[in-house]
Amino acid sequence: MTTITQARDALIGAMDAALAADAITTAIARQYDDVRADQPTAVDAAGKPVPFIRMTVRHVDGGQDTMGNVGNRRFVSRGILTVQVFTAPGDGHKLSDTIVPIVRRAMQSLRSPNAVWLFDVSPPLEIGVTGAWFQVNVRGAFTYEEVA
Amino acid sequence: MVNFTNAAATAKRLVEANGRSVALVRENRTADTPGEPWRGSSSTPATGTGGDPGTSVLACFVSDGGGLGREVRDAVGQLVTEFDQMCLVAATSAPGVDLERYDRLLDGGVSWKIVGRAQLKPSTTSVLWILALKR
Repeated sequence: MTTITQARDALIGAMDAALAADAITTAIARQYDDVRADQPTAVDAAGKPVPFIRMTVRHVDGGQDTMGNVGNRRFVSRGILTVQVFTAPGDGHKLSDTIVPIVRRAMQSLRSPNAVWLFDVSPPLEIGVTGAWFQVNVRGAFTYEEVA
Repeated sequence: MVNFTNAAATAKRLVEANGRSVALVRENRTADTPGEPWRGSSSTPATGTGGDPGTSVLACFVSDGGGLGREVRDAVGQLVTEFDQMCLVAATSAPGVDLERYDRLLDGGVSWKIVGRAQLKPSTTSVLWILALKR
């Protein structure tokens, strides 16, 4: 059984660790939902804005899964984990096509941390130019249960 | 090239003569738990590791209607078209202070989120900041 805090820690924590462990994504700034952060203002050696990654957990729906006395009922929660990858535009997707597979592999490799199941990892969802960056999203559905 | 030093001085004189003191606040970006940056910071903005003391400036609150209001709405971006009020801060009132850094404005104990910023900097001299505020 999983609490909402454990679910967030499991999803974001596992993704954060996976991206920190990869040689390419380890140096890329990571941002999180409802955490104050400034968009990077630095540029790389080519004068292009440095990439960054943002992770968001959004609950979508859920409900009671079993009957029983209060404290013995199982409730299911479902939602979407979204990882947004921001790279400098104009390179024909070279950098985003390098980073996004790492993100997808990390999401596909999650093995129910804290009993949170992540599945249905999306293909790269090219959003387009966002400010100084090109944005590509990867989404995965999650579900977990708690007893109340 | 036009010298905007005089314009900046005029902006300072008018804004400070007609404005009131407000505090600019920058939220603490340093995570409470280093290993869990997604948990954010519950520290007060001004204290703790990564805290920022903020700054006080004289700001002149002006009508957000009419041509200036439309100009600011255009300047701050299409996604932030709604704000409750806006204020002007002369760039030379806060020399060396980057107003892009701040998240909130405290006006008489009321906290306003800074949802948009526009800087009037026609040349190398910064003349005026316009801050769009929302509750």
